[in-house]
Amino acid sequence: MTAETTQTKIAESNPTLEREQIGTRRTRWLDLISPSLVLLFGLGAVVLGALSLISNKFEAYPLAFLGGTCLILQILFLDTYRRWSRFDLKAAALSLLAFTFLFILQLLPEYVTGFQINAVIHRSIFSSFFLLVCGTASLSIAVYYLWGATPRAEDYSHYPLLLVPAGLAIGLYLVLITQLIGRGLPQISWEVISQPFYNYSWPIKITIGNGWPMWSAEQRMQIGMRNHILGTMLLMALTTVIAFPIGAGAGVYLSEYSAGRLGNIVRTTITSLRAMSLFILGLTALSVSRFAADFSWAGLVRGTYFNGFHTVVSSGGSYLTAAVILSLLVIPVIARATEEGCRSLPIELREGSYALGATEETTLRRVVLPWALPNIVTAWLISCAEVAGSVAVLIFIAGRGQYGVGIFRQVTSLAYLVFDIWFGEPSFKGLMGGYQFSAGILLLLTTTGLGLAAMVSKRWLEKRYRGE
Amino acid sequence: MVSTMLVRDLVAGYNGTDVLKGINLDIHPGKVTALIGPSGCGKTTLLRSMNRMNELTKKSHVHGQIKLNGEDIFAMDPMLLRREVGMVFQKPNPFPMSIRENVLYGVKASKLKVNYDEIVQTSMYKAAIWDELKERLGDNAFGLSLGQQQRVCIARSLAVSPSVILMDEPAASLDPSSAAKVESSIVALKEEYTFVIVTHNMQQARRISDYTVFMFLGEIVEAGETAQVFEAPHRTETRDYIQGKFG
Repeated sequence: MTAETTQTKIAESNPTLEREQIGTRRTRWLDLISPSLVLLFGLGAVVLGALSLISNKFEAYPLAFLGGTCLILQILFLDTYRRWSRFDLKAAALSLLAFTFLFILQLLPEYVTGFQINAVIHRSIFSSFFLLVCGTASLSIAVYYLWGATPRAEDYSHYPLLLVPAGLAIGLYLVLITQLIGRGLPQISWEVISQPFYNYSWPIKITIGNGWPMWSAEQRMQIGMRNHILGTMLLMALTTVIAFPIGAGAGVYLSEYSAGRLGNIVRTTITSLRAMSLFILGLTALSVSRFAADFSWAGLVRGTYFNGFHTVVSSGGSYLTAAVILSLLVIPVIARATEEGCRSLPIELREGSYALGATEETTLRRVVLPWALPNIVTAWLISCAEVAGSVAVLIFIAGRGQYGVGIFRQVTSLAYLVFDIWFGEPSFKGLMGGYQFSAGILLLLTTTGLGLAAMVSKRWLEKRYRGE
Repeated sequence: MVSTMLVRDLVAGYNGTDVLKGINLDIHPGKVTALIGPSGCGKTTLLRSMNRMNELTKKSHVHGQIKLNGEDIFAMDPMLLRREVGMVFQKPNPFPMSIRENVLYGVKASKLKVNYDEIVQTSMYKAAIWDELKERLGDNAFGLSLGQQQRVCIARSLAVSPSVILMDEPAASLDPSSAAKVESSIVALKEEYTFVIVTHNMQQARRISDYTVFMFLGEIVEAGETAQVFEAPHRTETRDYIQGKFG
């Protein structure tokens, strides 16, 4: 029996069904008018809703748009009945809801106060939210009817529901990034990047007068971020050196040898390390550097600087201290990724290796670790991005990096610079004010670059070591 | 050297349940022995006991004796035993490295001082894959077809020069022409090696094996020369299984 005869049979057996309903409906241009109007208004509603979320300049338009959308939905509602001999209850409910809301909105004063939120809110915030919801829903309905109201059209009609929230999220990021670039980019110059910041009095002349040494000093000042940039790099490198072997080792242990209790203890420890507040880690760093103050090795932990006369132990923490504490943050990430990578090795490959008389060590070195390498490298790069962006850990121990960068110097980083310019002392803000956005751009570039590198290297390594 | 294996009173299983309930079996040197039987009858467990692979499974147990040329395998170092008793799995499992590295894996793992090029060529030649792949030794073995992968796996286990080769349904996941190539290389090699093959394919067992062992519910029901087991089985279960009445 061919498809056509089936369709005629169905149509004959059910005379109330029209030919259109069976799937061979030919679309007339008149049929498209009402859904396309809804589509147009839906799109307008979504765009306007998003825009009026940012500013209340559009206050007058959402109301009109809302009204228009309701009307057009009503038309569609009737049109659907005319063509498909059934009511679209969703469209009806939506237009009813929109009308109700339009009515309520008319009753509201232009500025809404109270609601126990102690704020003055422009009523456009309500209309814009509702406009977004209403617009998305009417887009969905319009797509459904434009596509011919088939089961596939129902699938397509869900796309607006997914795309609008995603678009809003991406739009928010775009706003953020354009803000950052708009404010930070004009100030970035080669000088700012290549020069270190300093602001100190430096002795220039020491004379002996009246039997006492006398010295005159000059105030040296320079604007720049070189040491913050280098410091961020040094922090990433040091943290890698400390956290990578420990994290990868713990991960291998967890996946390969952790039978019984000890494995569970290690796993729990690692998980709870990850759940710890970063400020607690910052406090730990502070107390470690305070504790070290009484010992001869204070300089190693607290960081040193050269003040023109001799080397002085700083009051904060060194890059080494910061890296050790940051390692606590990063080790769980690397350990979990390594464990997962090792566990994802198919059992056949492991058995294949043992069946050839290979030892556990050879199997680990030549089969398990290469297999886990994409995971490990990705986790490492992501951790580097985390180290670059972490402020809370450094907040109590970092300085301004004006005396240089080195393992035992006082720690500083770009992320800390952003914090320091805003919350630091007024003199520092006076010198460096505005450069927090430039530092933000550099940070954004670093994290984006690391993320991209993670993606590319994962793909390459998977191809190389997993044959995918 | 062609080796003999003797299995005596072997009881083995997992999670406290015995899968094998007292197996006694002689594996004849330089012959192909086929293990047949319905699923879950313990063929694979028996095979994996013979190079102690089932010890890798958690909560497994083995009692009894298996002797390789008179030497108790449970007293041997498992790594040395597995170099002597090689294994080919049901699913081709090449490592994600080049074909050459795959073949040399066992050799390098056991730190044998041999001529690598020569061993690659001879073992791949024996596995009937040399002519196909001699130009592509540097390619990743994952990119090969399943049939080629399986023959690379056979070459890989031949490279460590074992005397016994255990095969767990080596042709089950291959297309007929690749399966035929695997079969013909087994037949060609049986002068040099002792083969034990688990198979679900009666025709294959009949074509390539010299001895056939029929297992059922963890016990050996019947063992003998292939012709006898297939033509004139002593036991009704054997006959029913071979004729396809259950399985």
